Amino acid sequence: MSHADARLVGPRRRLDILPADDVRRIHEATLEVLADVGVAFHSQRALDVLEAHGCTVDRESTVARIPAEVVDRAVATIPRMFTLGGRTPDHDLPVDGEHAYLTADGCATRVRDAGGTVRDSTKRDVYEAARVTDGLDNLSATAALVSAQDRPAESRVLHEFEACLRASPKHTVVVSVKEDCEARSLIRMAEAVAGGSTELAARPLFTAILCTVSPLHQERFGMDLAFTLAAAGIPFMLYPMPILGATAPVTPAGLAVVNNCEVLAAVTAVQLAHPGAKIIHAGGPTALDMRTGAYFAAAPESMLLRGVQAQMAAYYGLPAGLGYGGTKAKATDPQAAWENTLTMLVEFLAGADFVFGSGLLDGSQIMALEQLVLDDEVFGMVTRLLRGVAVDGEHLAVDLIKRQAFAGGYLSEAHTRAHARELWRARLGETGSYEAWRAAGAPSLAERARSRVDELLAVEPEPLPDDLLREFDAIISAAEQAAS
Amino acid sequence: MPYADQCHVGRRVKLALLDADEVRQIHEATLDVLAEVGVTYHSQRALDVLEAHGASVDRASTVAKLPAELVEQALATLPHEFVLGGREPEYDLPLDGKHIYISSDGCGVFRRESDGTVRPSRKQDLADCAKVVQALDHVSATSAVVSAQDCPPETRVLHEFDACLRHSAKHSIVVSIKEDWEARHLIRMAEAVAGGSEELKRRPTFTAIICTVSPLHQERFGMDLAMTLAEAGIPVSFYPMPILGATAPVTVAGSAVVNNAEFVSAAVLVQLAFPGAKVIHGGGPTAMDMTSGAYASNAPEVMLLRSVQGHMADFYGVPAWYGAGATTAKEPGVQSAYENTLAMFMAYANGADVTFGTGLLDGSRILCLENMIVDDEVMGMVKRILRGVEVSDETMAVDLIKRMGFGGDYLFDNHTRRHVRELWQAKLGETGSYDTWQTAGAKGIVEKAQERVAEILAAPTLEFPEDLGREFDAVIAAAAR
Repeated sequence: MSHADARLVGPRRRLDILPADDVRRIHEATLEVLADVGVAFHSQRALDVLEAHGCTVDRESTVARIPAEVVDRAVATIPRMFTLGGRTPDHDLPVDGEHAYLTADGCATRVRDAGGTVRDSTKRDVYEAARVTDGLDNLSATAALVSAQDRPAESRVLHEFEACLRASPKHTVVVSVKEDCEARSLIRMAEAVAGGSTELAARPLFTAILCTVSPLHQERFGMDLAFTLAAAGIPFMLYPMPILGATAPVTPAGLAVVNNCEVLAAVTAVQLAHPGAKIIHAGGPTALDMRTGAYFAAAPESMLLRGVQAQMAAYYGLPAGLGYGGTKAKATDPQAAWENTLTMLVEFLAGADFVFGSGLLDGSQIMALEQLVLDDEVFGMVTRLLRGVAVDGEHLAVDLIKRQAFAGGYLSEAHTRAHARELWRARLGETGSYEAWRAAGAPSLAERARSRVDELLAVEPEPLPDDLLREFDAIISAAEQAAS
Repeated sequence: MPYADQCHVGRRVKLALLDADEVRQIHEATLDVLAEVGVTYHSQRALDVLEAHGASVDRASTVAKLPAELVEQALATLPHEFVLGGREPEYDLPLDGKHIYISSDGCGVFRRESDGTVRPSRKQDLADCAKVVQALDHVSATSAVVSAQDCPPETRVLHEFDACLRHSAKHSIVVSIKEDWEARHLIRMAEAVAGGSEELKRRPTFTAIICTVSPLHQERFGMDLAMTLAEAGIPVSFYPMPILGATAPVTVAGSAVVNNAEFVSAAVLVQLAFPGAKVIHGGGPTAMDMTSGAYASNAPEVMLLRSVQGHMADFYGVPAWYGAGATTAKEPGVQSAYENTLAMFMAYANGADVTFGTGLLDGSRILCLENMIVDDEVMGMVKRILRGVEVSDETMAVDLIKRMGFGGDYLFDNHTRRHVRELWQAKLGETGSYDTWQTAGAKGIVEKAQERVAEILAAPTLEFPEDLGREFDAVIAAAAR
């Protein structure tokens, strides 16, 4: 069974956050803003493309106003489904609306050790996080959970990618690529693994995250990278991060409009330049805690907004990859559990194809490997919930109910044996008696998660071929030399 | 502002877990089982009522087979909306599909002290729990959360009710009545609170949970009680507890049929005896962990089964009330948080009006007040999510977006000031920076919850009318004789 088979949830019954009429109203408001106000594209290349296709461009302010018919034309070329490649084909991830994937998060700079000490992150941490991700069945893609701060800034993103590839054959999400030259080096590394550019385009080994800037900006590097990645067949998530009441209206519907404008504007520029480019409707809206001034990704309004984004993605026929995690909890504790559980559940029920990411605390600033183990357990339960309830003759089992009548002898029935294996089973949570738990030393769940981390880290991965490692080294040194 | 306004979710974000055809299939399978196999009613009074209305009754086996027409005719008199009365009217809880409530759980036998010690439960624990319920915004009703094991068995249920009512002005849930005379004493106590039998019917101070026995049994005391309570206007939640793969099919849809057949057969009986009696669709199904043999009420299949029941309740137009907080975790922590969060969200997104409940660990055995503080926080978030996203010209704010253009100055705009107070705010969870948290002593969530519990327990109890206290004492003393 391939990894994706275990992640199949089938056609999903959805959470109805916005009625269809309201989805259309958000869409229409988006078109109005794109046509009347436009979006600032800090990229000459993007402005060239937009102008050539009928947008009104002001070179000085870098603003492009995008008429509705241009948006429609661009949206029509979006691919409805594609595959995210694993380093090995059994880790390929079809993005087709019928699978649900959870990935590791990215970009933190600190690590919470087993003992609770917090320190700066290194490349070794990137590797270990990818090792743990690799060992967890319900996690589908690695990411540089933390920054490899012990490597030179100019080649850091390549070191992080290398660490992920060495640690795991799973797909990788690349978050911190900023420069076009970095993207080109990443593509070369990925081509070396895939065996060429055509193979890479068919089974792209990584997905990039490109953030837009709220309200209504597309950064130069974001747009330039998008064109480079699209040309190589690499999928990317367009990731607005509006803040309720700061860089977008405080009312969730208003933020949904801003978020959607930023995604659609980028989609339009990229699809016009590279029709068929693989794009994922993404985003990580946050709320502002008005008392502390801190951003809050796990506020219920943020969760609802990500659910709304999944609905908007479905409206355009785009895959939905949503931000998740971002718990404000300071340890793997009840808060981390309730926030991540609720956000995961709402986003996947609303239709997310994948959700990025797991493993971070303190608003995505501190990595805790226990968190990956916890999220893996919860996502196993959520996956079962997403599969829903089969209602047919075999599952209704009316004949069996009539036969058993008033006797509770279902346990020894063939029907029970045939379906018992479909039942979810806990891997981390306690299921036994209180006495058994006491006898085992009354371990907390965080302690049990830590033991699992240690177990996973003790396993050595299948090493990559020497020539591939040499090629990685060559690409990384070339990038470092070019910079110096 | 009446308390229930805080529990209003309106139209509610819903999960379309089943379509109309699937709901109909489960209903028809239920009718098929009720007509062909029937249900055992271990109550002569129940069998008399059913026989008089055309059910085919076998006195020896106590089985009544219920023809489909009889079922449909009885279900037609179910009331669709009613109110659960608080001790004080401001805590009345309308059950109308637009409000959601969580109560404390029921029937535990141990108390976990804040230092982690676990000991047998006593009456004072119910009082403590009721005080916590009273103090929490999102916990709407008290219950016999643990057994008052220091009180005599024959009056225990009355002592439990007494403890809840003396320490909270909210509605109360009674779980462990077994005998008809216990119900009659409870009704006397409740009448004293409500101000008479007619008042009690209008604003019933308590709800009774009556368990059915899977597969397809109605106990004698359950049915006799249901009729006594129905007559007094007390709402009854019929509460099947099938175990997937043991006392019902291992498949969720099959267990839903058994669960539904037990609910419907009980509802039919009370509607025939007392048309219009207040009935609630309940249930606390469990799954068996095939490795340890332990029951789990928060396995995902069980959450799905309760979700299916929510859709069935909607089909019959009755309020829905399910178990949700019975984590198998052994201490307040990570597992209790994720299990109860999943269970709550799934229940309410699939139509539950009430979930029962919060505060117990280890599969509903150990009272842990800290856990109620955690569940209260989560319940607040769940409510906010279920209220959904309002889409209007004011909330989409297109003119504002156009005016702001490419500048992020929303913070100082009137529109932000107008709506900022609508944003949810954390009460228990950390929202600040790591450094602030460290400086403040790096308190864990459970520690913060302990402090909140201590603060609540140290505060004076809400005033309880003296004459009512004397009346309660008299009823209990009479029952003891």
